[in-house]
Amino acid sequence: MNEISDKEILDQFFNGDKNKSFSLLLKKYQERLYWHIRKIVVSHENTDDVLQNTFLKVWKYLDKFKQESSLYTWLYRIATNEALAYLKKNKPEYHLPISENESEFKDKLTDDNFFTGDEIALKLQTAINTLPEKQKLIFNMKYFDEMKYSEISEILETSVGALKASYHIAVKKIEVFLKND
Amino acid sequence: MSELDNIKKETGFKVPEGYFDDFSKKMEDLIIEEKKPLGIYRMLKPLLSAAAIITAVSFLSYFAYNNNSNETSNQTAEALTQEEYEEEIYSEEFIIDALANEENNYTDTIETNEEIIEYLEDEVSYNDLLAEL
Repeated sequence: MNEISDKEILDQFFNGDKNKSFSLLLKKYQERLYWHIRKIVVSHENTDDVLQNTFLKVWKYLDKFKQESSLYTWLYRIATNEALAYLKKNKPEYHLPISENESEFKDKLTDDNFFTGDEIALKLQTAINTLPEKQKLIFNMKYFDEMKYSEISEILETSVGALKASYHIAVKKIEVFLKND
Repeated sequence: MSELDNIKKETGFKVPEGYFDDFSKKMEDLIIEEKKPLGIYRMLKPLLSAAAIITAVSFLSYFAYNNNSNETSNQTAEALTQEEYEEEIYSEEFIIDALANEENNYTDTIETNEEIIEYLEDEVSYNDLLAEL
């Protein structure tokens, strides 16, 4: 079954049934945005909160969407913005020294019922968590989501060159972490 | 082969069974709530907020003017309603600016020449560069 296009969703929203088009938009994007947010905020419960906020904002502002960017890009930007704002507001270990962050992060993940990764996955997530937020974003979008640099560039409004360099540095840091841990 | 090439590419994150079906339903219910006619308080809230802001600003301005009569200021207080404020912050331009400012706030970015050179050196050998001159 072919996935509905963004154009059809928007046509339906602006010229037809708003509720129906929003349901179609949810169906198409909820899972993608969930995983994007999850990699930023880590816990399932926090992701659920942020995802709800994201779609509430989408519902509220879709009629003002000027289509200067693609719907896909606009949705990802809102999700990214909401996730980063949530972290700034709620991340308790935000102000702790890095070493305390690491062990606290590892413990939280180990205790999380919705983390079932093995020892390597735990190490990898801990390594990723040490990266600055934007570098973490870039790494996750490139490594796990396998997005093209051009797509990431549109979403984060950062040049492809800067993204490539940032990803390269992130990879080096993670590899050092994995070797030493 | 790097360390990352040797490991399985998985986050380890899992989602509860049936979550996305439940989520769709939950969002649709939330949207219906959002569309319900506003109660008197919700209708008046933006006006009350604006009125409170204007009153507070007027009071402070009067106080400031009387205490500092030699100062001149060209600033005018703008009271935005909650709706206008949210509309502004969720415009595409604001999201772009917010993310651009996030980029500028990071100290650990690739903005130093040394980091760019380090990256390029890994990708391009010096001899190749010299050969092209």
